[in-house]
Amino acid sequence: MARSRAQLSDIGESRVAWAGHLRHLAMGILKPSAAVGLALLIGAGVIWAMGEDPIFAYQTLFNGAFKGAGNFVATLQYTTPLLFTGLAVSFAFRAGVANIGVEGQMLFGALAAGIVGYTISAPHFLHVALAMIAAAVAGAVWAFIPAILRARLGVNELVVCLMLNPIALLLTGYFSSYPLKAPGPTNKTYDILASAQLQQFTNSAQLNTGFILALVLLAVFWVIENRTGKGYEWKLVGQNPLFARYGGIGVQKSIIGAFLVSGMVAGLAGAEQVLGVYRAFYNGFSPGYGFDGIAVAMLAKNSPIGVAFAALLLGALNSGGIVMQMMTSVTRDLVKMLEAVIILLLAADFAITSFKARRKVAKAGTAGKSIGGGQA
Amino acid sequence: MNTRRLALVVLLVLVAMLAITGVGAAKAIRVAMVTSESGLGDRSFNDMMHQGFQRAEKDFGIKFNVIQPKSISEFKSTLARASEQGFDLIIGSSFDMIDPMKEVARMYPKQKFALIDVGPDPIASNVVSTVTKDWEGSFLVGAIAARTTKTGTIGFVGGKDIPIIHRFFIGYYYGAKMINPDVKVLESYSGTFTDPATGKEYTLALINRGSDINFAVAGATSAGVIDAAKQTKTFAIGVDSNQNYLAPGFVLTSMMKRIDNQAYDIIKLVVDGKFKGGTVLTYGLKEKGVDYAMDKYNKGLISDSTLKLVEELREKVIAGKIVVPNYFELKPGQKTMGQPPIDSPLN
Repeated sequence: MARSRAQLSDIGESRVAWAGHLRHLAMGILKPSAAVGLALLIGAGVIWAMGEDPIFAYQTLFNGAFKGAGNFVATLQYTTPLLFTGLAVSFAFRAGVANIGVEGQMLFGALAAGIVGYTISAPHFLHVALAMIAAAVAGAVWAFIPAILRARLGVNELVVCLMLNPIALLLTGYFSSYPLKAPGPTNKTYDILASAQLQQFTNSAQLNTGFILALVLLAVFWVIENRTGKGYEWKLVGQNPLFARYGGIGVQKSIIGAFLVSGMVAGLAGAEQVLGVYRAFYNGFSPGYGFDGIAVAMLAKNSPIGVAFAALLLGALNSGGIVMQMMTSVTRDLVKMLEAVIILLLAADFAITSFKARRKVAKAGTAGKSIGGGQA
Repeated sequence: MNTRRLALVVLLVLVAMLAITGVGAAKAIRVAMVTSESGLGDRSFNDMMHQGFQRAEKDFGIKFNVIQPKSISEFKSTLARASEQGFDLIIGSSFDMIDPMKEVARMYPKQKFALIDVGPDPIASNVVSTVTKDWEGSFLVGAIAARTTKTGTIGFVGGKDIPIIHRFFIGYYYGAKMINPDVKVLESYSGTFTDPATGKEYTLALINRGSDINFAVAGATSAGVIDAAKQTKTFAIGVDSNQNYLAPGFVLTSMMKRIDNQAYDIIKLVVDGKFKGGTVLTYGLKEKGVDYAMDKYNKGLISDSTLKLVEELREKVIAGKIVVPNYFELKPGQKTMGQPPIDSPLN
């Protein structure tokens, strides 16, 4: 019955580790929640200044997002693309690469899925799988440009990604307006075949099986990031590339790998929209899902579980915002404002933390120097 | 005692009924305006429609909410959820909303819908839709251009090379050729509805080829067409809303689409209890759905004799003596880029 000393100390250590985990988790939940709460408070002030009742406005917003099956399904529809793009961004952030080119990678993924969706014919599952693979590959190809520039030449990926986004928008726009345009008044490609369609759950909204795929993907990434050696390598490179290099990890390879995986997930975001929502590639269909993914990743503190909640939050705000617009004179732009305030607050928190850390290092540095000076 | 009691009860019931009817009379008709993707503030289509709602609010005491979807994927769920909010009428616009509204209208057969500025096919049994005969308005401004040009060459700058825009061109071409079979009509498409700089380049190219009046049918790109006219001291013709004020003296006129009237009229149908789903309303010259703009900014630019002639043309179109060809009803092969699209009406 009696446990050995070693076993007991093991338990003790794991207890300490768990306490650390819990504290980490608590801060990870507390800070974003505080940011959301503060943003809602500021939003309430704005609504009040517009001459509307903030409580009623928020009530319609909440009910519009969650009350009744129709509203809830619509909320999940808004959430789905953010699950994909949020995961793509957060995975890259965790590995130390700022892939803010998810928007462009998603557009190419969408176009590829759209083309495969109508050009080939295959049994349902195979067709969907092929379209998804094409989308993932297309997203990865577009992500390869900033990846190779960063890894080989040290070019800042933020700048490259930012410039590649409009190029992707215009290029896919060109393809869907001219060489691949289906006849008719709108600039879109031909409708995909029925065998490539993702099943929609209801008639009133376009929520489809892509939502389930997103959840599965989140679970897979949680396992990769927390339970595999590769995931640990990526995390290490993200936290301290120098240390990782001394530890024998190929940093360049790791950067390229992280970029490609992130691009693949971004491409799948496009596939879900084309195969599940639109059933064709529409020129400029995205209202900025790739950019919203950045907000999701920041809110989620780069964890897949966090992504699920953060995407649901933004999805609910966007979905409820539509109903709020129907019942009050508060426009939907309020939701965009709330998002912006949340991001600002989180960014400010990040800046303060890193500023504090730097001051600590600087203090330790000067202390060391004075001791050294005394010795000399 | 009993009769007294009865009287009291009757009185109470009457008062209660009065109160109910009073409430009923005070309940305003609620209308939803679902914008197309570009939303409010586009200084063109959606803003024009919004004016119609504001006018209806003033005249009929209706209440309205503006709902602004941010992408085409939101149209369906937005229309479906608006149908749950007890609106008396939901008005949308644009070709992209046809399919979403068709499906949602079937799901909510008791909800009244309207779809503005779409094709001639009925949408559903509870939807009133409208067609704007912009080709008739383009016909008149084409005639004005052909009468006013000094070089004998006029131009057309479309936003994109798509059927809806060809519809304007055919009307413009037909009007110009009817007035003067020898006039040259140059056709070009800038490829964008949002870039004035590109619009300006295309217009300057047309001007280099001898055109001195250019019709802009290109959304926000039109501003560049007008800018080019100002720079080269030639004329531009505006579109959708009255754009004469953008460059006084250089905008010959504007081909206005009165989207505001369409929204106003359909709201009036609901107010009067005359709304009949499944009908398609046409807005041509006859219904004052299209017109050319005359105001203080283009005063004196068009000669009186031209105006007189154009008014005669208008009467003939309204009377059905002239049928302006509609692009969607042309025979195959009648419209290819760079070719005269149709025979000159005088032949």
